[in-house]
Amino acid sequence: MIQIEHLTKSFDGKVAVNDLSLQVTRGEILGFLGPNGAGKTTTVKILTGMLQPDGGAARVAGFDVLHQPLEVKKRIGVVPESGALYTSLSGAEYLELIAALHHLPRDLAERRAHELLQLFGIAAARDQRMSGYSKGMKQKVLLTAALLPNPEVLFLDEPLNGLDANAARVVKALLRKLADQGKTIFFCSHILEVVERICTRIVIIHQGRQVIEGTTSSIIARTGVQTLEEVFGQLTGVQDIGETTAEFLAALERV
Amino acid sequence: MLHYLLKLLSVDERQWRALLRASLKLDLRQARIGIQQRQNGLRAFWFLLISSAIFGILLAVLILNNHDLFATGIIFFTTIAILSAVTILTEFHSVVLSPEDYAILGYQPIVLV
Repeated sequence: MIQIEHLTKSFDGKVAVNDLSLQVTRGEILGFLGPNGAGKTTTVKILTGMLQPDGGAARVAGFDVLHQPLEVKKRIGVVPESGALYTSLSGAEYLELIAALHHLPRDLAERRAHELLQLFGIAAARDQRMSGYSKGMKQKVLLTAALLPNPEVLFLDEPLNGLDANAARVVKALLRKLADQGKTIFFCSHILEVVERICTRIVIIHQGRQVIEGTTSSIIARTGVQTLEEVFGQLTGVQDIGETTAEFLAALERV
Repeated sequence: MLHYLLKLLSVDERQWRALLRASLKLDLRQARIGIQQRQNGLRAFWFLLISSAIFGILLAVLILNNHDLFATGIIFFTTIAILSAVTILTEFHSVVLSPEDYAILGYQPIVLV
């Protein structure tokens, strides 16, 4: 469903994505992990037709993201990390706009939007302007907008940002059900526990390059550590948290 | 009429209508916020009032003293054109192209002509 081959992207000489190749099959939830600035969001932007790669190729839902971005966009739902929304519109007005851009029949769009907003517990605020929404409420609208056209592939960049524990539970359960129905989910997050619990496979990138790939158990077995958190630290920088913390505290005392 | 024109230009009518509706709502609501902000700053309001008055008086005097209808017309329409161009240039980010639009709408399957 998602095929990436030797994808490369640089910004002003700084390599953001470096020869990245991976595949995600139908019904899979891929956890795409990496430290800040590792190239996760850039990869998502390339796969969703927002950025052009410098090299390599990528196909989403059978379409080339470089040459057929419109076909790709018709088949995907995206929750961007930026959380950008038209806050002068109400939640209902924004979802109406998204539905129209996807050519959804009005009654179907209204029914779906209502059901999703109810599931997220913000149906009562649907006619209020989003400028008055909390961060969590805006995130719920973004999730609703991504799910509204019933896309084949979902790109979720930090989708649990700002969500309370109950809403996060709803999203996690929903993602599992969607994957069971055959949807492909590309899940970027810093919350390793969530990734560990819901993702069927994990890819960790560092400085734009894939450093490891596999199921949580296979990665832990290969690296010989106890948890995914330790694997992440070992592969992306901080190896001994105890030592680093002690150094930091010592530096604080010196000042 | 509009339906045929949009079809002729290969514009997706439903998307165009939805974007236009949203754009008008945003413009009107943001303009209202702008007026409120300006009213809060009394100095800004007086500056706007006085500068508009001076500009209007200068233009009126210039036109009144000129009895040539053609020249008056040129002065009037040139002023309007310059004011429109300045507005477009200074408000380019919100009137013509907003980077915010790309961050929000870039993921959507909008048919570009």
